[in-house]
Amino acid sequence: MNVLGAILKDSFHEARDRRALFVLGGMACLAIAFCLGLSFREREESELLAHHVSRLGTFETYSSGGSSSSSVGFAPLLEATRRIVPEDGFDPALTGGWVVGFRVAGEDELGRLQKAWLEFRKRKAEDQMDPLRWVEQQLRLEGWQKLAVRRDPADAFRYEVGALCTRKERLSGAYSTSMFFGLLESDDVINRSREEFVLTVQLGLAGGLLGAIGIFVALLTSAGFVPSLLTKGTLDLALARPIGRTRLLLYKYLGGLWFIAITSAIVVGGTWAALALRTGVTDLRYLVMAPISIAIFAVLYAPLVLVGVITRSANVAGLAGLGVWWTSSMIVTFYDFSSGFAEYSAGVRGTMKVLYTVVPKTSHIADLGQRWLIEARLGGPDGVGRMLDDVQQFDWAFSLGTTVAFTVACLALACWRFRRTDY
Amino acid sequence: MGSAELAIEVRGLDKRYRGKRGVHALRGVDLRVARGEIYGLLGRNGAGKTTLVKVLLDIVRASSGSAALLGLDSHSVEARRRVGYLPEDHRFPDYQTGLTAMEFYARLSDVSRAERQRRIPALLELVGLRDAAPRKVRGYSKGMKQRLGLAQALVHDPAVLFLDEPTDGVDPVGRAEIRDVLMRVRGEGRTIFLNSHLLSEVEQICDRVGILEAGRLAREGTIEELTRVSGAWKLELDREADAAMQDLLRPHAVRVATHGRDLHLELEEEAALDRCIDLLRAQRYGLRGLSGGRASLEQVFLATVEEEVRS
Ligand SMILES: Nc1ncnc2c1ncn2[C@@H]1O[C@H](COP(=O)(O)OP(=O)(O)OP(=O)(O)O)[C@@H](O)[C@H]1O
Ligand SMILES: [Mg+2]
Repeated sequence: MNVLGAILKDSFHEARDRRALFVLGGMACLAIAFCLGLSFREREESELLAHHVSRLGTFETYSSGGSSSSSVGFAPLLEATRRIVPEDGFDPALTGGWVVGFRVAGEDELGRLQKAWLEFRKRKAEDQMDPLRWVEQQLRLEGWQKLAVRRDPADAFRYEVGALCTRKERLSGAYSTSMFFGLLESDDVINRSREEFVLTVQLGLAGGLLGAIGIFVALLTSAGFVPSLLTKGTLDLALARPIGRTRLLLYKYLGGLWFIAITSAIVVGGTWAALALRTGVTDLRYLVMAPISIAIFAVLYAPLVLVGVITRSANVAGLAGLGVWWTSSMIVTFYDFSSGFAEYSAGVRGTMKVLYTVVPKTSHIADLGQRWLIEARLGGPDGVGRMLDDVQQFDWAFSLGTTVAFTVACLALACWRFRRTDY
Repeated sequence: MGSAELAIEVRGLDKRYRGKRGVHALRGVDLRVARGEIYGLLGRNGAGKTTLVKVLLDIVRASSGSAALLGLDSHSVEARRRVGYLPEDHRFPDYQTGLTAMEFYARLSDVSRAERQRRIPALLELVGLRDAAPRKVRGYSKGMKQRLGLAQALVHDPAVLFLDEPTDGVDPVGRAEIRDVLMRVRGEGRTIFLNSHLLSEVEQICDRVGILEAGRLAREGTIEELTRVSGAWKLELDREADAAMQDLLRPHAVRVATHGRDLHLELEEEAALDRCIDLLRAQRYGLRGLSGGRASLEQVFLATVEEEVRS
């Protein structure tokens, strides 16, 4: 215990001296600040109704290629929204809903809007319908289920919309989100609920910050740990102590891991707390991203230690770590997507199969975490399909088994080499 | 002497480094150091002194032969529990301070917290680093690093201390300071194994000396034994002995040489000394001093190395 404690503490001193703590701590602070800068506001139903009416002249389409939008000048004079009362004479089914009145600039203003819309959607002119029905249709698209649109019999320029929403989360723009402390507003329709909004942010943090930038920085900052132990003149001081070499090297490995574990716990815990504070979503499942990212690092740190023992160079070890990460990710992704190189010759298939078996599958570990998070929140494969572009089935036992085997093999080789060298 | 009383025991130790031109660094070294003894190992650069110490500490693996520390096989981790080591050219990781380095190495030797709190300040005081202890090692001078090295070697109260050129690269004042520390440590009953080039240092500190040459232990003995040379004498005269005088002495001596007023004689028997003095007095030479029977350690060292090279 004493020895392990000493080495863990020493790794901490080393990381601090190398400014690694500064870099990783800075990253953690940025991530937490980003989460604190997010805000999430539920819009009142009445506000939404007015909002949708005022946007009748803004058209948007969504497709897999992205979204496009266009708007024509439309500035209705909106009256204040109010609750529907029986005297309004709306369908009793709308009871409890809202009514908003608005005046337009010209007599056939709504017809003009409809024409522009047909053009935007590349529809034929024959599709033109009664302007009131068109408005109704537009509002249905925004998520209103029950509504009625009518023209004021006394004023040709004035209309009234009565509407009732049954499930608020279906209304587009029901939640307004903003980033960077209000600098960037968005009415993203993807965020249909508070939970889903938080989930989107958390998946972004897990994939981008922890899974990509975090691993990159972690590999580079911890690349020097083993080579610095093996520096000529430094190693003698440690080897003269009553510790076996295997223990010394494995503890040093744990030293690197420990320091990364703390950082990732801070990042995950901090961003979780910041998101909970801003949105009130306190689901704990996101915290699984800490062990997931530590596991990924633990796998990639093993070849780094091996190369560190062989070359005693921090730069070469760091590059090796990154190299293993990237090439293995490439091989695994390519293999998964090409269904095991099914269309290639038997030779290529065999080679790729061997490569696929040998390399660590860190992307599968990352996937495991994300999938679990989504399934738990959104329920079932449906939810996963909605959040992830590609839904693949892996043989988890095979993936995890071969990844653990790779890690253990690297460490065993490193220990063997370390034990038999004269220093 | 049973092997339990031996601090260091080396038998037939052979080391050939792996590599293209595999250096044969140790060739059958046998060596024993008793507990409490101060042993000095002399030898030229590359003689194998460091290799011998590293084999004892299991930092380098011997090709054949055996080594034991305090009766324990040198391959076992336990053998190193009560052993301190000051490596030559050691380098503390420069992110450490004097204090964190001491803590770190003490904990690697499994020194308890209470012991650390007691010993570390005392040792830093002993080597004169108390004020520098909170500073990073990268800002230390060579002498300070060497003293810190000595302190870390002592931090777990070792019974055997290996010092590989402890005063290497240290100025004369610093050397004297380190020597003072060694003198104090020596008084505590530890066994010390000292590798050095500095003969005067070895002469002052060590009980017994070995001379390693090209991987072989060429000579070994107490300083008394090594420097005692029967038949070599130095006479200080009031003037230089002239050629005629030297010719008169030749029949009685193996070798006659002058060096200013110093007259060097090598005699076969002690009785010849009196005959030579009589001859000198008869020629009215005044005798101002007489010393002899002893060579300096340096002379012994050089002679040994020369002999080895010749053979
Ligand atoms: N790690 C090594 N690999 C290969 N050869 C080595 C190694 N270490 C030492 N040697 C060689 O072994 C021989 C003995 O070296 P060693 O360092 O033991 O000598 P030394 O007596 O300590 O010399 P010095 O007084 O210069 O410190 C030298 O010829 C050296 O080149
Ligand atoms: Mg040496």
